[in-house]
Amino acid sequence: MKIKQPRILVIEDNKCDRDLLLHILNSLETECVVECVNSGRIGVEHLRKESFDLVILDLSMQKFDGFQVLKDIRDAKDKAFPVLLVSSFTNKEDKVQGLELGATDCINKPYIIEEVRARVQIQLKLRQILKDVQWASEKTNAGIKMLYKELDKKNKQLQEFDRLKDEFLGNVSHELRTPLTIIRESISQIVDGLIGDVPEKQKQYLSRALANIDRLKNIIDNLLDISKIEKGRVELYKEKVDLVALIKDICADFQTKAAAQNLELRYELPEDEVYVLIDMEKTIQVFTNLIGNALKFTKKGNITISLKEWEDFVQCEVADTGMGIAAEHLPQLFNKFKQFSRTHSPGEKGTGLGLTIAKSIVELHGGNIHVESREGKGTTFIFTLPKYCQRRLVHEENIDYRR
Amino acid sequence: MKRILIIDDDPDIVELVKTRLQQNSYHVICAANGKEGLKKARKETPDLILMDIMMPRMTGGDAVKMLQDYDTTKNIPVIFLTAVASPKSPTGEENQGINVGGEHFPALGKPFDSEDLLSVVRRHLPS
Repeated sequence: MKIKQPRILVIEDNKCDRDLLLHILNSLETECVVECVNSGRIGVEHLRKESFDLVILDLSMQKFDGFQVLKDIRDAKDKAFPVLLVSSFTNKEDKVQGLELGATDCINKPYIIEEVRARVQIQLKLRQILKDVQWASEKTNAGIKMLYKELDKKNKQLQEFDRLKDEFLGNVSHELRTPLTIIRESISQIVDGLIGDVPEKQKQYLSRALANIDRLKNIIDNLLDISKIEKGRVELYKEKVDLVALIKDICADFQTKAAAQNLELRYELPEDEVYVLIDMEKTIQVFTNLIGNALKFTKKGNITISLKEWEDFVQCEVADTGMGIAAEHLPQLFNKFKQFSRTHSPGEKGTGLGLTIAKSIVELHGGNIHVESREGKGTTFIFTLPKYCQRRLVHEENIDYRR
Repeated sequence: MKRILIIDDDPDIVELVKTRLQQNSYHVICAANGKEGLKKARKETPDLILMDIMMPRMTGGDAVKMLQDYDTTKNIPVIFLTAVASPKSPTGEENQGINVGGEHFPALGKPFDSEDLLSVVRRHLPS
C-alpha cells in the first residue's frame, strides 16, 4: 500500500534551523506534508493524536530536555515511526544515548544539505517498506482467518452429514433386515416342507434364493462394519489366544467346501502353541475373508495357511495356487468395492469389502498386511499379529510399580 | 411342552417364528408389542421369551427392565431378535448379545437361519 504523502513532524525551537529543514524537506523527490512545532510538549501531543511517517527532533532545545521528549514520543500511538535526532552533538555520548532511547538515526548540525536529504529519504523508504510488509501480513492474516472460519463451517457441516449418514445407514440396515427376515424364513419354511411337499427342482431354486438372501445380509453387515471401522468405533476385545489351534479350527470349518471344489486346504504350523494377543472374532474374520477369497479364485491345487514366529509378532500367510492378480490391480486391491474381473463360478460373488475389512482389522491390531501375486501362479496374503508377551506385561507392571 | 412367548411388532415375523417353533413342538404365545408382551408374560409365565428390540412405544430394553421388576417374570430367560445390527460370530449363530442395564442378553440378528434360532432357544430353555 503506497503512503500517499509521507507526513513529517519537525520539533525544533530554532527558527533558522527549522526554515532550513523545511527548505530541504520541500526539495525531496518524495512530496511530503511537513508540520513544524517549536516545543517538545506540543510535538508529543501531536504524536498522540495523529500518526506521522517521520519525526525530526532537535535534541538541544532551550526549554525542553530532548531526551525526555524522545522518551515521551515513544509512547505515541504508532510507535513504529522513525525518529531522526538533530543536534550539534558536542557531547559524543549523546548520540549513543539517543539511539538507545529509540532514535533511528542522527544528523549533525550544522546541516550538510545533501546528507540531510539522503538520510531523510532513506528513513521514508524504510517506512514505506515496513508499511508494505505490515499491509501484506494483515491481508494474509485476514485471509487466513476467513479461510479458517470457512473451514470450521465446512467441518461442522461435514460432521453433521456424517452423523446423518450414520443414522441413515443404521435405519436402512434396520428397514432392510426386517423384510429380509420374512422373505428368508418364508422360503426356508417352504424348503423345509413345513407348508407341504416341494419337488426337488423347486427346492433347488428356493435354496438359491436363500443363498442370495444370505449374501445380501452379508453385504449389509459388511457395510456397517466398514462404516464403524472407518469411524474408529470398533473396539478390540483382546485376549490371549493360541493361534495354532485357532487356525486348525478355522481350516476345519472350510474343509468341506475345499473338498467340494477338489482343492487341498492345508496348514504349515509350529508344533507348539503360539500365543497371540488378539480379538478372536475379528481375527477369525480376517482368516475367513482371505480363505474365502482363495477358494473363490483357485480352480486347482491347494491353499496353504502358514505361521512364522518373530520376536514380538507372528506372520501369517494365506497362499493359493489360483489365477493370481494382475500387477496393475495390486495397489488398489484393499480399496472399498474394488473387484477385479476374475472369472469365477456363479454364486461366488463377493461384496468387494472383504479385503478392506481384513486390512482394517489387522491394522487395528497394530499389524500390517500385504499381497504378493503372480498371474497364473497364485496369490499370497501376508499379515502380522502381535504376539502375547508375558515379559512385556511384567515389564509394564514394573514401571507402574516404581511410580 | 415348553412354552415360549414371542414379542414382535411385525405380525409376519410373529407368524413365521410361531410356525417354526410349533413345528418343533413348542407351545407358542404371541404378543404384538411390549405392553401386551408384559401382560402375557405375567399371566402365562412362559419358559422363555423371544423379543424384538425396536418396537414402537416400548422398546425391548424397557420391557426387559419391567420383566425384572416382577418376581414371577424376573427369572424368565430373554433372547433378543434384533434387526438393529447383527454382529456376526465365527459360527454365525448367536451374536455378541445385547447389554441392558449392565446385564448381558443373548441376541440373534435378523435375518436369522432357523437352525440358529432353534439352537439358541434350546440352549437357553431351562431344563
